Amino acid sequence: MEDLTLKLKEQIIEALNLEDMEPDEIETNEPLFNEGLGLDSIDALELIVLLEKNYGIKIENPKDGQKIFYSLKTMAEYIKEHQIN
Amino acid sequence: MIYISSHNIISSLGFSSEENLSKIRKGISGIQLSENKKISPEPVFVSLVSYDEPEKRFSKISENSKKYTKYEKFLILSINDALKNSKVDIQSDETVFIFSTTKGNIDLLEKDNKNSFDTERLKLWKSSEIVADFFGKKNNIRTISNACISGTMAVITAQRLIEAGKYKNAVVAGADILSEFTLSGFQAFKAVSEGACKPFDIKRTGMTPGEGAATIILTSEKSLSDNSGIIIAGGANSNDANHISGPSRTGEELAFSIKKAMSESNLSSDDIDFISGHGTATPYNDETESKALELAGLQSVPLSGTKGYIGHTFGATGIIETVIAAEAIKNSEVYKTAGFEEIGVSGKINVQKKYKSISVNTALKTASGFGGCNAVLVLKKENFSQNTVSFDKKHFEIIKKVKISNNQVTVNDTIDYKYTDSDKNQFSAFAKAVYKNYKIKYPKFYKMDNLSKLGFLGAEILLNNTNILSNYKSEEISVILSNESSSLDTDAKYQKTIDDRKNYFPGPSVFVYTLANIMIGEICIKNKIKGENTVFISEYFDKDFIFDYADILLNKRKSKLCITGRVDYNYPKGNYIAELYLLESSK
Repeated sequence: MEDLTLKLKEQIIEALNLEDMEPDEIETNEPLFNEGLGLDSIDALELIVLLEKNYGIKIENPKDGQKIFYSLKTMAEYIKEHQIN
Repeated sequence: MIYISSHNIISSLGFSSEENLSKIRKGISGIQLSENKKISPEPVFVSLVSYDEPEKRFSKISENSKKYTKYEKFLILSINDALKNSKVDIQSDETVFIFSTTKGNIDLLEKDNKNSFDTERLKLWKSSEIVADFFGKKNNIRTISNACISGTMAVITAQRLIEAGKYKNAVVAGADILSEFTLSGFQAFKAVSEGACKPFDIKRTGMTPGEGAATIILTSEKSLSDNSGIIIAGGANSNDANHISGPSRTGEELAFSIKKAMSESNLSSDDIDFISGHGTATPYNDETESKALELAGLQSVPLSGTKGYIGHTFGATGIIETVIAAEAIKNSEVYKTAGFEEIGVSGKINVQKKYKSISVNTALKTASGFGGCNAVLVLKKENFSQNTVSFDKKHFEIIKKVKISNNQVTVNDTIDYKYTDSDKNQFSAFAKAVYKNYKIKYPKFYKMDNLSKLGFLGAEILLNNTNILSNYKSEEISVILSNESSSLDTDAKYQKTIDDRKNYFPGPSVFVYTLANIMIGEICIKNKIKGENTVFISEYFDKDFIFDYADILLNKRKSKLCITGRVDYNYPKGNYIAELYLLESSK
């Protein structure tokens, strides 16, 4: 799980252009949106692409993203449960 | 007074305004399920103009069918049809051509198309020149690319230029073709409707992408008009300063434009008889539009939307819906809003479910787009509540000038910062160094594309060490920019994400920057600027024209401060230049 969280942090930094940010600056349990990293609706859509591209997981309804992308922890858990390979 | 001389609509419903209107009156929609894999890997509801028919029609007016792209043919057919019913002398220097488009010949970026036409035609000024040249027009050609308000803005700009005495006539033509580029982007945004779109309806799930073209010819000479007595009375433009893709949550900025356009037309909300709405049928757009209309006091005015018939035709839609507004006045009618059954927005509005004959003396057209832009246009019968227009040629003062190019920044023509690092040709490294040098703190900067970074930095340095913004209301400040390559640098990057079907991951955060006016959106969001905002596309920076346009805004439209100039990130060379001026209306 820790490996996955670290990898995910690196992928998020790259996909969302969070320049000048190091993986350990993203708190695993903190909310990703609004407070926390201050991500917005386009970032949420980009995270959907990230899951599909890197983990083969498709999210059809963007509203499901709210729960999945609540924090890094919820995201990693979702990947664990749904990853195909 | 600015009269209508003639017009045309090309869409899935037909090749003339009359063909389109007769189907809209009958409630016939042109939206269909397409399984064409060339435009989308999955079946999708779209509004397409059948390819054979334009070809057939084009071969009747030209032997050189192979010399023109699909996009150019759409425009040529549209202008050609409109010219049939107009006596306006298009060759005259008193006639301006104004084109509106979001993506022009964007399909030339696709792998299969790369060798068929010169990629210079990706430049929006170039395709405008080619189309104008078909009609023998060589000069006085303008191009506006401002997301989904492009068409509405082109009509408003024509009205302003004629009113200010710069021209007597204007041929305003807009088009966009449906390509995989645009479609995949809106799919990545989860903004495409499952079935045909349902504007303002409770079950709406998104927009229906479409393609088409439209032309409206305007004139200040009554003898050249269509004798309908309908005039373009006023227009306004604003920015939400909220988000680059999502509209304002309150609708106040669109409402502000509505009020400004009505007051310029000497009308109040009680005088408006009909609204030709934007109604894209995305959950957010329709919600915001409804709130804005209610805020402007237009809750009971009959509203019709066209997008359930012909989809969202992007650069054409504003002109098409201006024609619809004019026809509603001319024929005393309002139209059924296809796809609408049950109201599903929180602002109170009066969406039409049926075709009706009612008296219409005045009509209002709304539009909104990515980058937070809004535009509103008012049409009316000329004898209805006349407004007198007086244009005083006035003057502004240049408060400050900033230039960014070739690894250096100059302020008022003096070098202010020079980048001397070794990796000289990297814009991104230079941009980051400028960001740090001026101690800017705005993490969103890193998410921007090159063009937006350049425009953003220019505006930051222009406004650096000045308090001038606080002297004005946010609606009194405008941003008017000239640009050469549009967003092509980012367009090419986005195209790479969809070129390979086995590795097909269209990215929303790249797609959102595939419009030149997003840079204005970024400047507006950072500085809470909510006034006029438009991008003019041209090969060379025509400073006189841009300053003249700013002059019109600074005097007549109650704008008091204007950030203007050019911002260019050249494609494919990657040269960059920002040359920005801060203009203040003379007291």
